[in-house]
Amino acid sequence: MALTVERAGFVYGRGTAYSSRALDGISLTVSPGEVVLVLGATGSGKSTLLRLAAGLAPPSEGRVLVDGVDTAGPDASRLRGRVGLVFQRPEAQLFAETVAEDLAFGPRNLGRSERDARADADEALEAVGLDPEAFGRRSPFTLSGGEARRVAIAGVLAMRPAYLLLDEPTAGLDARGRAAVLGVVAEAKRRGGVAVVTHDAEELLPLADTVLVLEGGSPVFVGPAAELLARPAPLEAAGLAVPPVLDVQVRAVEAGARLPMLTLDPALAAEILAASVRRAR
Amino acid sequence: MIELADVTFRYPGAERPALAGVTLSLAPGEHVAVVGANGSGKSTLALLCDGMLLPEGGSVHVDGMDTRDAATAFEVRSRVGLVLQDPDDQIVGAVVEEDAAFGPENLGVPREELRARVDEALAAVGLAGLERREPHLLSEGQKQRLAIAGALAMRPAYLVLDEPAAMLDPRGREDVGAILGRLASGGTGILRVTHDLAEAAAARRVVALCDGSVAFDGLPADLLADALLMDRVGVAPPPLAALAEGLRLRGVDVRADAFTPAALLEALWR
Ligand SMILES: Nc1ncnc2c1ncn2[C@@H]1O[C@H](COP(=O)(O)OP(=O)(O)OP(=O)(O)O)[C@@H](O)[C@H]1O
Ligand SMILES: Nc1ncnc2c1ncn2[C@@H]1O[C@H](COP(=O)(O)OP(=O)(O)O)[C@@H](O)[C@H]1O
Ligand SMILES: [Mg+2]
Ligand SMILES: [Mg+2]
Repeated sequence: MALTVERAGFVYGRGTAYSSRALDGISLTVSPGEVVLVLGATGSGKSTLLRLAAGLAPPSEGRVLVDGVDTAGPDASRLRGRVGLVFQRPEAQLFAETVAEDLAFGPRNLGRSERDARADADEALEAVGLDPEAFGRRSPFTLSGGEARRVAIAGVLAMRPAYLLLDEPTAGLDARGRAAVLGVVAEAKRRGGVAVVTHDAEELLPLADTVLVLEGGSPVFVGPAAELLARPAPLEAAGLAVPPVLDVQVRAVEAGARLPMLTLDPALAAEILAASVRRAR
Repeated sequence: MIELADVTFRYPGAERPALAGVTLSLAPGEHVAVVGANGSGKSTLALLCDGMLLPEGGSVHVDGMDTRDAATAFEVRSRVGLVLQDPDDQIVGAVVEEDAAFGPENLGVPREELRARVDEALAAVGLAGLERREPHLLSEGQKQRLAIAGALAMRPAYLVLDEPAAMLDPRGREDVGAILGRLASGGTGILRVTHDLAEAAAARRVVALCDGSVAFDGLPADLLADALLMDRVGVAPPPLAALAEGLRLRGVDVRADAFTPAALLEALWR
């Protein structure tokens, strides 16, 4: 049981004058109970990778398997509802007259009863930090940007996919919304496998088990999150920022400080740094 | 000067006003960041600045012109460049260079100058080389850069940007920050909506909205020093500020405006 991308590549507009390669030789496994973080600069191929993983586009080379079923094979229809993708700008997909209708559409379509569909919808809204009472009867087209994005995330959650794929899910959200999304990732990990795409390592790295760093469509790092935390250089190589809290510690080490570990937690980092300076004196 | 005086605005059919009693001004050369929770009224505020939305109560003036005055509406729009939160609402051209030329062309900028402006704007946002690309084939971050380029090419006196870096990677955000800083130094008034307090700290002044009203208008450092207020207006302190606070608690002498890794290191070894 897993979602696996096997030596996959992807070329946009293959055979046309505009043909361009977006991915090359990517392998990735998302197992139940695991959070995989995909990091990379703009244009590195993150969104393309999620589209392949969700079976929305067949890979140009290699293959994508969900629990052993090829997403481009004859049995692909059996996978309906197993993989849920929240697009980078998911609000563009809202369509129904009310938020409640929009959210119940997915689960109803998967054959759930009216009552269950509504319950799934309400639960999903709460998970993204929106009150089902206040927002359920609103038209999705009158929401603020961040509200719409949260509703769209809820729309995918309501379907309870076994594999949840999120494309830059915290962009445009306020502090509470971002905290809610981190909660969604943690909860989804208990229910299945999760892959999150972002160019911001800071918030999501602490939740990640495995990290894939992309540059120009190719992997420059694949491994445990702890390994990247201990040696964050691949982030810089890929054109990303080393999270500032980590950066302070890396520079302190370069300046001769002896730190027992590197951490993203600001409070813990403060304790470690203060202690090391005291020792040095 | 853009001046909002006691502005109230309610969307048709909405239960409560999106903005209530907002008074705010933006001077040429000033760089103001607007923060606030989702739904607090930031985009509504941005749309009121160039007359895209008109106030229900109170008034909005741009260099003395009332945005409700149809006779000066064109002049107002040519002075205020607006970058919308959703690039798709803004992109109209069939290819990248046409889209960036759309604004200045409408202002009657002559052909030769148009070319120069478009090339300069596309280069500034890092889209040089993609002039003939169809906008729908751009990645989301590239679309956002294109929307910014279109506003830059208008060379407006005031630039109002609604979360212009939300979809950009760290380098893209740095580029946008540098562009805005340069424009402000050159006399352009900048109003920039953001959720990122580290970004807001780069502005001289931060306005925080809460439920459609101004909850704070002052120095970034003063907002960063008020945890309760930050929570109320839906912003989180940047992790580096939390690290600085943690160091202070442990007796390290960290200045209130130390927002960079270098400044913190300096404090540690002082
Ligand atoms: N077209 C509309 N019709 C009715 N209500 C609207 C409309 N657009 C926005 N609103 C409501 O007005 C309020 C302010 O919305 P606005 O878009 O200004 O928020 P915002 O601060 O920009 O939020 P975000 O951070 O999510 O972009 C919100 O309560 C929102 O739901
Ligand atoms: N629909 C498309 N047609 C052609 N090229 C595309 C399309 N979508 C993305 N690309 C290109 O593919 C590359 C990877 O894009 P994308 O996967 O969106 O990157 P990321 O999500 O990491 O920003 C970029 O060079 C981008 O311009
Ligand atoms: Mg993307
Ligand atoms: Mg907005």
